[in-house]
Amino acid sequence: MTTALLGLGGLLLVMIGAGIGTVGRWALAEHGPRLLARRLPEVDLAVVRPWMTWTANVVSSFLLGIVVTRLGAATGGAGYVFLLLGTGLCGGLSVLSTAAMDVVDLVRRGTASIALGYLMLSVGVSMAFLWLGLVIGS
Amino acid sequence: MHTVEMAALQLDEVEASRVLGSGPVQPGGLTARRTALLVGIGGAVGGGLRYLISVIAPTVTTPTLVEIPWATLWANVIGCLALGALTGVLEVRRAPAWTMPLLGTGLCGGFTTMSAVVLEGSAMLGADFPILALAYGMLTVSLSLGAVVLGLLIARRIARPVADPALHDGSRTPAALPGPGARVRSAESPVSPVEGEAR
Repeated sequence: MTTALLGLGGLLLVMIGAGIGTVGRWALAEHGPRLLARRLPEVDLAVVRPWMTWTANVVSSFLLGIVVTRLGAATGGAGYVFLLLGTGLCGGLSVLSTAAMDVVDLVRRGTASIALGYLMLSVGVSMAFLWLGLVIGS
Repeated sequence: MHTVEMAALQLDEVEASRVLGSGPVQPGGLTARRTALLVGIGGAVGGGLRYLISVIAPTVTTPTLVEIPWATLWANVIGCLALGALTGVLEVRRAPAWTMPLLGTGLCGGFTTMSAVVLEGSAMLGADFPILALAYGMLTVSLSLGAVVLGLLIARRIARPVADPALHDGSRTPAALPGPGARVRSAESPVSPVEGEAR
C-alpha cells in the first residue's frame, strides 16, 4: 500500500515536471521567434522555428547535467526531487519527436545539408552542455 | 504548428497545400492560455507514460554491464511514429484546433526525450563503452527519423481519400452504426449492466 502510494506520488511528480517542461518548450517555440523578429525583422520565422526546439534540447541537457550530479544517486526524498526535475522537467523540456520532425521538414524543403547540420549540432551541443552541467554541478 | 508553414513551402505537394489552404489547422482559434493548458496536459500525460515504461522495463546498468536503455529508445521511436502520423493526417485532413497542441507538442513531445538520450549516451562513454554509446546514438537517430517518415507516409496514404470521409471516420465511431447497434443496446441495457456489475 505504501509502495503503491509512493509510486503514484512519483508518477504525479513526473507528470507535474513534464507538464511544466512541455509548456516551457511550447512557450519558447511560440514566443521565441516573435521576440527574435522584433530584434531582427529580416529573419524568416519558418527558418527560426527548428532552432527553438534545438535551444530547448540544449538547455534541458545542461539542466539535466546539473540535476544528475546533485541528485542522480539520491534515494528517498531527494530521489523524488530528481523525478520531478530530471525525468519530468528536463524530459518534458527536451524533445526527440519534434526534433526528428524538424529534420524531416528541413529535408522536405530541400535543405538536406541544413538538416544534417541540425542533427549533428543537436547531438553534439546537447552533449557538450550536459558535460558543462556535470562540471558546474559537481 | 508545422503544417501550414510547411505546406506553404512545399511546391511539389500541391494537393496537401490546397486542402490546408481551405481551412486553418493552426491553433488560430485558441487563446494562448488555452493552448498552453492543452500542451501542459499532453506533456504531463506523455511524461507520465514515459516514466511508466521506464518503471516496467528498467535498464540494467552496472560497472561491468551496460545495456542499451530500451525503455527510452522505445518511447522515442513510438513518439516519433505518432508525431509523424499526426502530422501526416493533419496535412491531408482538417482537424480541430486542439489536435496539434494536445497530441503533437504535448503528448508526443512529452513522451519523447532528448536529454535522457544524451545523458545515457554520455554515461556509456563515461563507463568506457564508446562503441555501445555510438550504437545507441545511431539507433536512436536512425529509428526516430525512420519512424517519423514511416508515420508520415502511412498516415498520408490512409487519410488521403477525402472524397468519402464518412467511410473512414465513421467506421470507428458508434454513430456510423445507429441501426442494429443502438437497437441491441437499448434492448439489453435495462438488464445487462446491473447483472454484470452484480457478478
